[in-house]
Amino acid sequence: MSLRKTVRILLSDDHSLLRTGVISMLKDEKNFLIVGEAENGEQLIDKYFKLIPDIIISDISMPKMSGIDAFAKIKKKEPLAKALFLSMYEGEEYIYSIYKAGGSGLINKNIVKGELLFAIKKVLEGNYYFGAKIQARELDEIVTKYSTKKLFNLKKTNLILTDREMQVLSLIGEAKTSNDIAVQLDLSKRTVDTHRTNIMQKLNLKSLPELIRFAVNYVIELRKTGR
Amino acid sequence: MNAEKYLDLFFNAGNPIFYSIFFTVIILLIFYVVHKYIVTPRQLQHTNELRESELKNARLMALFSELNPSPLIRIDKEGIIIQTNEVTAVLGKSLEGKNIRELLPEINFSVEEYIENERTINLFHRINERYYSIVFKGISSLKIAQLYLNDLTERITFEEKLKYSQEQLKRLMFKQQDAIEEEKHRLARELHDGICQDLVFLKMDLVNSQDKHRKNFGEEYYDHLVNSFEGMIKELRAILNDLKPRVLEELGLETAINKLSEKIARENKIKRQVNIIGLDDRIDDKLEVTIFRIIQESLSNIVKHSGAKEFDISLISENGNIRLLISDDGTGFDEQSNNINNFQEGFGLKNIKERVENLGGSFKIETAQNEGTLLLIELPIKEKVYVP
Repeated sequence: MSLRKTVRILLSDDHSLLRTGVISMLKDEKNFLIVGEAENGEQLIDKYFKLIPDIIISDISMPKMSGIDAFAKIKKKEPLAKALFLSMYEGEEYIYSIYKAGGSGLINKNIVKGELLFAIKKVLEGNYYFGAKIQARELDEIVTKYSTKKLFNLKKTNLILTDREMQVLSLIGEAKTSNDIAVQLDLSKRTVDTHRTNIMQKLNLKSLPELIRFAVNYVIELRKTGR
Repeated sequence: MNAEKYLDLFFNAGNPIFYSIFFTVIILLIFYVVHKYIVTPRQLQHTNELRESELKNARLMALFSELNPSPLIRIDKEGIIIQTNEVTAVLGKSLEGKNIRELLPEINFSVEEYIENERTINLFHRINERYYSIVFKGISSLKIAQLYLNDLTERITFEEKLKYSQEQLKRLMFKQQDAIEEEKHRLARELHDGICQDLVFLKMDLVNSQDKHRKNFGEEYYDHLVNSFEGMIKELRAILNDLKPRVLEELGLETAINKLSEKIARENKIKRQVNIIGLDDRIDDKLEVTIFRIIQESLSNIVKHSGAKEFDISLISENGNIRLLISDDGTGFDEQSNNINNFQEGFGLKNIKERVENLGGSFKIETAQNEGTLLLIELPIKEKVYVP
């Protein structure tokens, strides 16, 4: 997108002082027009759909609904929406949350004018901007670190385990204790424990946490395949 | 030979047969007299005495039942009340002749069978605002059943009072915890929105118009000012972060759990696995905070006491429920002996259990010596309400 065209901005922050700051930074720029201001997450959603701005510049922490929560709702209805967030914090968890909600960038509230203009430009071009230190590779790393990975093959698991073991495994994943499982399957607790040990051996799971993680994902996979 | 001569001969004092018979008759006579006038009366007297003492005993026994401060009821095989003691009157007037089932509908079994087989059963029933534990005992030799009633009202009242005050205490504790949490949040928000923002804006102004300010303050003092502001902002943020899980409020549970576990794993050199499934929307604030605090508490237990090399947090949101499984491969503890090594740990777990139950969920723990610990928590989801 060319910046020769006027960029329409929706500004959202519960502190008028900060809005004034951003406005004052942009007021001399001919290509930027602030078309609306919102004071909380709900207003942000309302005004977005009234004004359809090119970009949202929003605080994260706001009353009623956070900027990220509000934007996630906007993005569900309007996948082309773009948002650049302002925060006093720049931790990886913020970057991941913005990424997950479909946002494009994060800048510190300490920002200077030059960086703000640069960030807006980047985002409008369809890029991410999370500060100079976070490039594509770093962003990838953060996303991998924070998102849940799936680790196994359902079909293969079902081939290795007996029917009884599959039953036991899925009950473990449904947060049942060995005693619960024993009662439900009409087995002794010792038998259930033996099944557990066998499951762990067969699937090469070395610890209780590994078994639990596997069992939980197993149940989710079963649900997906409609069993 | 004539008969007279034989008679004379027979009754002759020199005849030994006569003597024998004569003495036999005398002895039998003496026996008879002794038995009739000495032995029989004695025996009779003895029997009478025995009967009397039995009667006395029976009366005493009857008095026992009569004086028993608890109600006592005798019924026949049809269940008709044949006898009661005095205090039974508290249960109702002139019970005798009535069927016991009018009083105790619980007796829906065959009384006759209980009597024949001498069976005993314990019942519990409320009569006229009082609670009774009842022992029902069949006595086949007497063809009756006896009901011993024991008034438990006082005990039950005390138990109820105790339970009530315990619940009150628990409620108070939750209220206090909520109040502390709320107060911390309020304080954090006020500091954040007030002083912290002001400092940030001041610093922003200093940096944005640096040419002007550098000239006014002088280079050296300007740098000092900027550094001081940065230091203050940093310090204040650290305080704010301790006051409330900021990440939780702003970014939600998934990110907050990820961040917390990452930090704990890194600082304690433990392997971590986090597994969050189906939690796409934000949930109720209080629920978020509770789940976050539970995880915080559990992880702190794990790193402090278990010696684990690895932990897993799995949180699955499904069908209006949240399942939370927190596991480690540490030392665990013996569940049966309830021997939780550390008081703090025990308290922490108890606290978690109560918080979960307070929100209508369930808490279970599975552990054995040297086999790790698994906490199983289920909670009903409450959706987040955005206050208008």
